Amino acid sequence: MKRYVSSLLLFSALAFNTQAASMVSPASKGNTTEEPSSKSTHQTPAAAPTDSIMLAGVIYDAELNDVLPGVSIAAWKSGRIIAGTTTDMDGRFHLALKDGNCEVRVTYMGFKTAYIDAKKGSQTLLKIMLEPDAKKMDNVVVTGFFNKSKVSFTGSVTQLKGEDLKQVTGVNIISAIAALTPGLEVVVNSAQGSNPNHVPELVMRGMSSFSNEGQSVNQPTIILDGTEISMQELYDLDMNEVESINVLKDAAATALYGSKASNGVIVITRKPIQNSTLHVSYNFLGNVQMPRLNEYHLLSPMQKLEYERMAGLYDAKGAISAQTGLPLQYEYDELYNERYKAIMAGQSSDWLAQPSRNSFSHDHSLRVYGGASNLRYELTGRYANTHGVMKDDLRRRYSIGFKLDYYIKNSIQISNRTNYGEIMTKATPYGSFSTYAQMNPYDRMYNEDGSVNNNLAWDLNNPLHDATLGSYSKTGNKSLSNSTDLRWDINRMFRLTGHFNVTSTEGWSDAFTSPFARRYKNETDLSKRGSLQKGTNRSNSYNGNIVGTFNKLFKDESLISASAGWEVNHSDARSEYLNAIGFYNDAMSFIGNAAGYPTNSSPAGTQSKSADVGAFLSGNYSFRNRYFVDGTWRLTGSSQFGENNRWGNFWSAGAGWNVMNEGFMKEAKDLFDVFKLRGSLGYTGKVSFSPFQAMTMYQYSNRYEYKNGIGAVPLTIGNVNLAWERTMSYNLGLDFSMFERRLNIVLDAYIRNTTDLLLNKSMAPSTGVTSAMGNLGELQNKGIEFQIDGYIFRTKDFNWKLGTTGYINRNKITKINNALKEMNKRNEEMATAYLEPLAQYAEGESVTALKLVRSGGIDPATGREVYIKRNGERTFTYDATDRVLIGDTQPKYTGTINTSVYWKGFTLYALFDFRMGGWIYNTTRATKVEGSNPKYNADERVFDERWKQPGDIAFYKNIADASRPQQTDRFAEKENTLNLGTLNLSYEFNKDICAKLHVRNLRCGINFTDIFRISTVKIERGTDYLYSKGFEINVSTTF
Amino acid sequence: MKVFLTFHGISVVAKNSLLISALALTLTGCNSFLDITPDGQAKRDEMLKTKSGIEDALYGTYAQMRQQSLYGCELSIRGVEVLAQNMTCPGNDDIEMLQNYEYDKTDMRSWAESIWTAMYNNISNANSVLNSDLVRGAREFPYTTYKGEALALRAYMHFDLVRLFTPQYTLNPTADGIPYQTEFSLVTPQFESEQKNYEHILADLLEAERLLKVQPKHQYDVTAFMNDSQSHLNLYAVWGTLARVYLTMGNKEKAAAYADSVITKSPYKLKEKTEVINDVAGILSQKETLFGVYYGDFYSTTSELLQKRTFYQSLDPRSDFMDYYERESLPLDYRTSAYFTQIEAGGQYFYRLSKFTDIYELNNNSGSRPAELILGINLIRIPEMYYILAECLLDSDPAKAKAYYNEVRAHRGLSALDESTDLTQELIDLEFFKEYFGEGQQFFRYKRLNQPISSHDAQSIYPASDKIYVIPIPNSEYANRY
Repeated sequence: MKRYVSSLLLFSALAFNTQAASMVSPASKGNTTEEPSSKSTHQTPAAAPTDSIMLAGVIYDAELNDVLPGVSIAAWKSGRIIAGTTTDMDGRFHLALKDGNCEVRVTYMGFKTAYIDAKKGSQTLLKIMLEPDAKKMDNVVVTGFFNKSKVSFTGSVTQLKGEDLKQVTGVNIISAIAALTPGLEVVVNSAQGSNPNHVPELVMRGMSSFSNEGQSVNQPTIILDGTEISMQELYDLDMNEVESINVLKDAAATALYGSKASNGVIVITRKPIQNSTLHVSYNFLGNVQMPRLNEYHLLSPMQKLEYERMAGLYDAKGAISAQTGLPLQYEYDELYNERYKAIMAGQSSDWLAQPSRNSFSHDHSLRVYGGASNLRYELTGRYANTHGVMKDDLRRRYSIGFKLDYYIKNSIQISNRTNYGEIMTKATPYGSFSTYAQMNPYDRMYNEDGSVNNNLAWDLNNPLHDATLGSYSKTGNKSLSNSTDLRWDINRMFRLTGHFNVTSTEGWSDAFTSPFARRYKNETDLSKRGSLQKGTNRSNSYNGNIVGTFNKLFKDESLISASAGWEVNHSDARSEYLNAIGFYNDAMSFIGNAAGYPTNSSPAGTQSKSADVGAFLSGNYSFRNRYFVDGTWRLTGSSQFGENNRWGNFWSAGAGWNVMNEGFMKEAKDLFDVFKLRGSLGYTGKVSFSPFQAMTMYQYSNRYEYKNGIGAVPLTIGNVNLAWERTMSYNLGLDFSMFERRLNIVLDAYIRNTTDLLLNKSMAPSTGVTSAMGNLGELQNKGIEFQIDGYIFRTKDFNWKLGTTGYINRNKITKINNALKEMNKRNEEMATAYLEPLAQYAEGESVTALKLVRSGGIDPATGREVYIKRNGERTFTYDATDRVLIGDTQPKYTGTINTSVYWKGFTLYALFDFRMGGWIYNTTRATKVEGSNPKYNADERVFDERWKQPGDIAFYKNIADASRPQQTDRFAEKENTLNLGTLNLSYEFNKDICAKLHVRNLRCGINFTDIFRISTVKIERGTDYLYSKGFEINVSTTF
Repeated sequence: MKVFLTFHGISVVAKNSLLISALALTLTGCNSFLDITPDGQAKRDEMLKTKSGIEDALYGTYAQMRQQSLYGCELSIRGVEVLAQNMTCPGNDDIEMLQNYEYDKTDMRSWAESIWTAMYNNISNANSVLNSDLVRGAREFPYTTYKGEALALRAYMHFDLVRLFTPQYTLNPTADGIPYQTEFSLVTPQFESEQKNYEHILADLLEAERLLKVQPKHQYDVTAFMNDSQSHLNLYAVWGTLARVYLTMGNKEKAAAYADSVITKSPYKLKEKTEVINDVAGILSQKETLFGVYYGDFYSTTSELLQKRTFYQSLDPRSDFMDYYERESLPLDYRTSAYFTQIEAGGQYFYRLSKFTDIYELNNNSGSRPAELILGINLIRIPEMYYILAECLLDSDPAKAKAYYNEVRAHRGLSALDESTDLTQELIDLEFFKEYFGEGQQFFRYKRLNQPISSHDAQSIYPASDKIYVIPIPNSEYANRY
């Protein structure tokens, strides 16, 4: 269907010229009633002029051996179309020509162009087989509302195919998209590691908001077949269903989305149903993952004991025991000796291995499709069971889908798709991985009888105790979605499309804490031990749009296209929570067994409702395929804004130049395939705050009950002047391709100025509120991204492709407000509560700037750290105001290198990614080397360069000083990393073998993921959840 | 957009005219589509268009007065009573800081900030009502009542902020005041002098007085909101507040006049000595209370904080409180046993301030509580009016002053003052102390009279000074003024 839709844009334009042809040959319409198979009954025009030529025949899809309707056949003479037609429902065409002195091209979107030799004269029994074009998506840009011709597109877009993604990884679609799109990055979350239940976050072209928590405000908008979906829905999408992905980046590409466009738009198209006999395709993906423990360099038992001794844990300093009256040193010595003996006896506990495991996950996907030219069907199903590398966690996904396409004649298509999906997740009961990295290796994990040892040195809690209880944390989600699409080709120039989707989801969450958990150690009341937190959520949403498009191609190849559309979105979500306590039995977590509710707790819930409506106009004019301009205007109204600012206007304008089609390039034309310059600018917006900050809403609650009535109070004082966050973006681009696409370059440079940034600013309490949303601050992102790829060798059986992408972004705060200064102050006050330095915003600096006090090293006399003040003075007193800019935590340069080698069905693909020049505050060094608590296990560098006695010239302070060091530049490091993200070997069985196996095609492959990583910074990653490495096995077949 | 229009605007509009007209039609319906109100919420503009909406907003404002940082705890039984050294809690750091008036400690700053913030937040709730169209131009009942009560609420809350955060007016009439917030907007109100603060407070109260005198013309205008007027800032409560405010400003004439109005014109009377017991036990005194906040769950606070004895949490009365009540050995002061009980813990007996303990809840038979009782916190009671009159008339008409003084005594089981003994300020102070113990007024009285405060253990004296009487205005108020 996709192929069909995309082709219409061009062919309907071409169709203008077919009228002349159909006068001569009215057959193209009249023949539709005939049986498709009756090829022999071709009408031969009776009265063709003798000097004219008649071309007629049937056009087939070479791969499926099926007829192709809607294929354009055009006769070209000196760069102009002189005649043309399209194939009918049965793939038949007739074309009358004055003479054979022209070039006849057969073009169909997604297929390689074929030529008919008109010089041979009249041919009426042509059978033309069109070969599918591997780069079929190149010709149109899918905007989600309608398709634009790529040739005259002025925006910046990265187009990916489903197969491209699967080559990178079959498991995580989000990281696959990011790996292949320059300018799009997955937010590094070092704590969550490879947690399969952690949904990654994306940032496109730099951060455009101030935020202390997460990057959710910077997320791009994701559109799946015309409907917006969440990051989590994308994460759980079956990759096998994906046909193509268009990542729209600049204003010209995204302006249609208006208020949601600032962070970019990812448009995902699922596979169309081909006109074919019954096909069944099956995909299997097995995934073996192993924990990546090699980033942990912990102390051995003996080293740990020695470290404790050096840190003074066994030095009583002459104290006397209160109980015995003897020097306490005796007890300390005894303790030390006991541990020493145990170590000598071979006691060495591998704590890290306890919560981790090698995991195997599998993912099955089935697709059944087929149908005739006027009715096609598709059935999809998926079962995926994913296990992470920490014990007992899982993410299970089921989904089924059904789709029907119905065609009325050649002008109306109606499709309906229903999808049902279920997700079940379970978190590891083992808790945070970092706890295990703290445990002392000389302690036994289990007693001899197999029970958990709860008698650990220094009174530490054994994390295995809670892990082996019946506690759990599970969530589930069900969603049902139905969409209807309608396309009506009113005539050769006008088309109307409509889309309507209804989605309903229901979810639940259960978190049970066993009554035997350590946290209830001191709870004497048995009816208060153990707790179950239950939550449910429901959401209903619908969206719809109607788009009318107009296309007209002139004889000189000039093209006008225009679209107008209207869109509506509505969503309503609510969640409810309750908490029950008092479980007497570990295994009985049913809520009916609970003793009661916690005191002072009441049911809780959240709800959010929002609606928006929009309309747009968009137009494009291309002059002789050389110069083109386009413009878009978008109007959006949102329920989240007050009546003063309810409607927002957004626009974009762009221009381009197809240098290749210029006269002076005539001689070089054989060399170049594409040579295009383009530029665009535009205003887009985003909404990144909770609803109803702009209006004053009264909240009713039983808390405000007042004798004779129930009271209500305003939630906040609404900021009636709250306006949309807006981004003005400029983009310049170059598309370049030569030597029959052996070398391809895409280059983009951009500036994005975000103004009216929304921020919660502190207010003087006398206003009545302590904080209010305001439009404050301005940000700028500018950057360059490029994509170069090319074939080094290309023959039928062997080719070698090499490519690279790169991305440089500079972020700068251009205007700062007093409110942000307040935020800086608050961050400064809270600094000690956080491991990593909190943001300190300043004009001219990046939002991700790393600012620290400079360190003068460790004073050899005292072992204390010397700080350098702003004026260069050295001092022992730390003052946070002495912080200076060290660098940016965002890398200066990120990129990928990919290569693929094809030989007789075998493909070897490798994808490296690198990040360079980002500054990192090494928390491992600050907490496990220097600021380590000697009662916990530490990094092996804890011995290195610690100050031990006066005169030592050391990098780290006194080994006996266990306090956490102040945040200084001693712990700042520049990070360069290189990662082999993917190494993929696959084999496509040739047709003969497939035929013997009675399958249409068969492909299998193995994909090694994250197998190799080097970094200039030695830091413990995956503190809450481990990182993993491993391989995926993929088998896919169609029969 | 301009580029677009020049090139294709006209052709598009002409050829897609069908679409455009459809578009225009649908867009007109959009504004109502975009008007979304989640359940349990209401848009201010719409809610304050109806009587019941205004009443709900006022209920909300009254209800918010019982927040823990306001009259639900800190400004009634805990914070200000600890500042008055009436209550103590050994080993509780926060209480000790309050007792030592260490206002610059972090915990004290956040304590003061919580009061400041909650009070202004609730002032804005009153302002939201006052700035709605119906209330702003109120001429007729019941809108006059709504406006009168909202104005009185605003004045009442500002007055207590002024009493906490600025120096005593009579001692320092030119002192800096606080911002007087009258708008419902995000514009920060300006600081003004204390004198201006009082002008605003009086203006609001006097206007409230005028409005609350408006009587209903039709019976159907009287809604459930008008019931249980003790739990509203009604006309008599406004008079009582005016008496309190004038006295604080040193205007004894006006203070006496309003106190006299309350006594002569209001239906509230001093209760008999036999009625003293349990009269304010978590309920509004039916005879004496001019204004109190309805609070169905006050027992959960009083039982934890006052009735039970929990280490580091519950409050004990000052060590020598009994000396005040026993200064005259006979006859029996009915308040002593009505206000205090003893409980046994670990073989020791401890005095508890049981004045506010709901006996029905305590005895687990809340079902038998008479329906006419209003659960809540008493904020203005009529004895204060007698004390105000006694104090105001002490110099000008000592005999009359003594009569007012003796009248309260008679209703508390005490004999009248000897004819030969002159009434003194100290005697009124002692009566006030005994009557209002734990009701959050003692600290303000010490401050108004600029008296030294005897520490809770009666071991030392804190001399009167702004250091103990003026709580610094929170930093957040200064830091966020832009």
